[in-house]
Amino acid sequence: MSRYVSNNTTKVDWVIIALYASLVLIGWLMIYASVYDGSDSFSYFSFQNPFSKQSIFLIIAIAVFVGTQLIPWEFWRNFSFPIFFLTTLLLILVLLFGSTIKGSTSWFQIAGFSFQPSEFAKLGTCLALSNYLSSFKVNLKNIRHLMLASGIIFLPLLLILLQPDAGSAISFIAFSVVLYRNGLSPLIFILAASLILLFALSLVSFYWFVILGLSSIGLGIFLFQFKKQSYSIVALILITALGVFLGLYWQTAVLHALCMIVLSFFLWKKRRAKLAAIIWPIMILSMGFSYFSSFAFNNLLKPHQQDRVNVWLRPELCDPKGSLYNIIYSKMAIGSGGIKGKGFLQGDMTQLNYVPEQTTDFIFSTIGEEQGFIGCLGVILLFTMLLIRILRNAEYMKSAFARNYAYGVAGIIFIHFFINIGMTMNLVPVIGIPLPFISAGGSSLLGFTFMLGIMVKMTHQK
Amino acid sequence: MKEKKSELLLRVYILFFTVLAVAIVLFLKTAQIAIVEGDRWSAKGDSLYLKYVSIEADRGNILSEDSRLMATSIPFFEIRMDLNCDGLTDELFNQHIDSLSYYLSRLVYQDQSKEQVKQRLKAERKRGSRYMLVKRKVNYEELEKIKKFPLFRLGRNTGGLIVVRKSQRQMPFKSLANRTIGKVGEGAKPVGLEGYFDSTLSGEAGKKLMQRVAYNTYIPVNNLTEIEPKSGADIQTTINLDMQDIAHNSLKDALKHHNAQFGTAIIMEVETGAIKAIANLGKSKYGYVEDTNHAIGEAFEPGSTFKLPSIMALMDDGLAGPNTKVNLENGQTRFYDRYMRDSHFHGLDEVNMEKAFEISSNVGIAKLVNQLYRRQNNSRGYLRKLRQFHLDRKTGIEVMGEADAFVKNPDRKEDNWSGITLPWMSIGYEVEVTAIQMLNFYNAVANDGKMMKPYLVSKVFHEGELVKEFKPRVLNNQIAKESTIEHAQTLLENVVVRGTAKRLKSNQYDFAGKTGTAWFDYDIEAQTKKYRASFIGYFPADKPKYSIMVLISDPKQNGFYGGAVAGPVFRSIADQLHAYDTDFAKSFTKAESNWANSEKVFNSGYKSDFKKLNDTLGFEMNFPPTGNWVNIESEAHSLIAERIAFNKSKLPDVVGMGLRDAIYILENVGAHVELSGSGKVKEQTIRKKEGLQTIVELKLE
Repeated sequence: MSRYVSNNTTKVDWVIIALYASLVLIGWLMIYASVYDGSDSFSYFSFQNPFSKQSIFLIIAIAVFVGTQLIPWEFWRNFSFPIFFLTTLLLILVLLFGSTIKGSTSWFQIAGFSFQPSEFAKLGTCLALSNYLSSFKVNLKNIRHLMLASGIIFLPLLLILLQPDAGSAISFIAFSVVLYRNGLSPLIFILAASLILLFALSLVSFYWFVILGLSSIGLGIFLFQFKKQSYSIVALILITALGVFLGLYWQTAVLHALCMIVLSFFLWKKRRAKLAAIIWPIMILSMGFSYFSSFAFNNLLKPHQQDRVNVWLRPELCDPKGSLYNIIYSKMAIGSGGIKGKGFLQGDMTQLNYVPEQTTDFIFSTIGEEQGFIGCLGVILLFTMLLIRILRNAEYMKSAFARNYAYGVAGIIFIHFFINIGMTMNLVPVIGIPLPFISAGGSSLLGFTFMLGIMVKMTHQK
Repeated sequence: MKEKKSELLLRVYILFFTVLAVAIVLFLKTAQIAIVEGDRWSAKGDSLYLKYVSIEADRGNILSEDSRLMATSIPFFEIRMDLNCDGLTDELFNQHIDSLSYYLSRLVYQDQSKEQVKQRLKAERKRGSRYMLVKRKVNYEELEKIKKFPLFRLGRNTGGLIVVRKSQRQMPFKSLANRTIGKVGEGAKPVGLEGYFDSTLSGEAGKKLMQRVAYNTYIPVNNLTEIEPKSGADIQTTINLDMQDIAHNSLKDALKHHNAQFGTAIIMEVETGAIKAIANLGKSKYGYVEDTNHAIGEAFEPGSTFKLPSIMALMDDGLAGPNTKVNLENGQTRFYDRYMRDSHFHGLDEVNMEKAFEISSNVGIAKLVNQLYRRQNNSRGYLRKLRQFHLDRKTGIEVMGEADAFVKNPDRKEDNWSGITLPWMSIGYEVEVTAIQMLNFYNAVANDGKMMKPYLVSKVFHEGELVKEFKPRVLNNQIAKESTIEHAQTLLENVVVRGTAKRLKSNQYDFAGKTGTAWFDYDIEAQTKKYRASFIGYFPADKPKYSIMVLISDPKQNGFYGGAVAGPVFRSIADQLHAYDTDFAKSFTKAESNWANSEKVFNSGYKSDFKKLNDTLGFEMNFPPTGNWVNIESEAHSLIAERIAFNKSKLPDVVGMGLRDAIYILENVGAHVELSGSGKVKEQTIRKKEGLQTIVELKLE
């Protein structure tokens, strides 16, 4: 591998440029397909038409990309904090002077164009975070440093939450990947994932199932510390199943607890009390969290947020004409495309504008309907290749700043890729964030182009 | 340090792995939706295909002269059920299926038990039915009930109730003027007023968003109409339903009597050209029904009725007058190789034109036309006159499908003009005209030469507001010289006074007209032929009000000639019109007016009833100022109303009254009435007195 690197030190990474160009081109065509309505009177160059706007931004984006190649990458490192402050300032200004569209004060309206500062805040945050973490003095094991690093992420995140634009805000979580790469304990991520899982389970399933599940896991872990585990595990499963079958939920849970108390004593005798001391609080906290998550869901989330979670986890509760509408139609569009798709400009659901936000958040459904499974697979592959390529490049970067920055770019692209495509198929909750390079929207396209362009420029220098 | 490096590597691998894992998850999910569940989503997607379907606007009504409905669209509803609509959950369905089945079996399907209905609903739901037919034809009242059924009352998206509005064209007077009203339907040629006024009647279709649920089946997406249809306008015709009834029944009786193929009768108002009635009856397996618009849609060889234009042409060109002599040659003559005969033997030779016309001599008229025009080598002069009389063209009546007249032209090769064309044309052969055209010509004669455009529609209303009014229109102010018209009128009167129609003469009124008998389908070899009998006339002769055309084709029994077959229909119609039309009433009282003593008319009764009748008829009758009951006596030239005073001690005399008045009076004095017969009270007898109860027996006749 090192040989490969040495051979390419001064070369431009055409692979990334090709991937970038493909995605942007696909996006441009798909926006055209989404806007196209099949009528003769269709006007391509109306100024209000997302396609003509996107065409203009496409030209600007090319200029931006070329521009980033002309600026030495050190410029970005040296000016990363001023840029961060500038983009953060814009986030404050938008709260004061921005215009409100669909309930969020996220845009500046300038001469017919909307400009979304949160898209540029991603660049600023990425630069500042990379710069901060590349400093030799910084060690994430130092709690003050960790707080400061987190602060760089959470300052813009909170400002965006005030707009409120939860989707964009959540995407900032992606920068934690840079922290991870710089030594942040994976336990935090495992903990976060577990909590999300527990939250989801608590909402989806019957409350006692979660409690019983937790107590069974706890008891199971204890049982594993003794001989003839297989028998006792089978016994545990049978007893629990019997309890569920008879409807004796809390009784079974109490039985588990009693067994665990007895086993704790034996563990203590075996000098394994430490395990018990960890398992017990985790179990009790988890039960508490599970109980609290239903409460939080019902009392802390706003109705539209509850709707989104419900659409994701409990679609049967949702109104197919209301909150579930987007997802049903998006799935329908993708499903009706089949393997090969209906063909470019042949998607009747797209033409009839069944799927709302189809040029922006739900553009993947246009790809699904017109280009079919093959088209979807192509887009997924392009993104995967791009991400792998960025991660690979990151590890070969000579400067820590460049490496951190590349991780940040990979993280932010990854979270958009996962959430956006996932939400069109109800794999994740509907969080309104664009599909990078593909969704219509000048700010998003330019923001991502900046980020990727700078990264490509850094790759030159590795 | 080494440990740290491997840990870092692990971290990097975990990140690579995460990207791959997410890509695979997304890939699998896409595969699930697009491939595994593809058909299902695709079917569901298909089912959501929407399209705009036009909704028919309410078609306007066709009204008679007095605004009675002759054709109207009655709305009805088709009830369907979407058993798989989005809001209809299993829970909801199971909760309501019993009660819904109960209502359906009780109120909609009387022949099915609740259990049967339930099983069917369940099966249809399982089958994925989204457009199950509940009932095809339901009226508004029933619809309102069905809408309140369990489940259905939850509406379209939850309860699955789909109501499709349809409408059906109905003619409240059934066969009356059926053919003139006409029809517009898919696949059929539009005919009649419906056809001619289609765009007026049909309004503008609206648009509605419909959703496909199965092959070629669309259901409305919601109950909102995207573009409301604009209802059609109503048209008010000149048809008078009473006159139509008279014409219809008189014609029908004659057709039956003569076992004829078909017939037509048209009544036209002389002064305006308004068609008051137009009956077209043809033989069918159901008896005589309105089948084809013979009056307007077909051109025939008119036969003898065409002699009027012929002699008027001669007179108008100054070639002949009523007294011009012509030799009838005992009723037979020859033009080239063809013989022409008169229909009846008369043994006359030299007569004047008037006589020839009165007896409808073919020889006489044909010779006059042939000689007088031929002498000038001028058959075109005759044709010019026909043009002047508008006999070569359509009348322009607003009925779809008016037939063209056919008048031969010597300058047109394909017309096969020959030496015998002119003489035969002069007596109504080798020429084809429609009944309405002939009537219109006679009407112009009756109207002192002013030809009106025959018309059927007087007003167009939209939502009760007058949109357009059609005034009588003059086609030609003077179709011939005044003297010609005057002579023609006299000649037509003489036809009735002493000519071919003299047996039709009425002592109630004078009328004028011309009989016609045309042969058709004649086969010289087989010596077979069919007749087409006609009569065109107008009445009263001195001040014509109505002109009437009667045409009966192929009578097979009880006579063949116009005077015998069509003439009586004319009389029957004219008689009834004369009795019906109050304008004639005064002359009627002047005549032998002993109607008060007639068997059929009530001659005593409630005063205000008689007053109203009197006002309507415009008699000059004085009523006594007091009392509620009167008795009408007739004197030589007037009617006298006398007060009836009832004596309290005596049972009132109700003889001569109608039943309603009689019962009112008798029961008011506490009598019990028993009756027999119908009509007016003829006899009144007291049968019994049981205590205070008097039983009065009334005999009605």
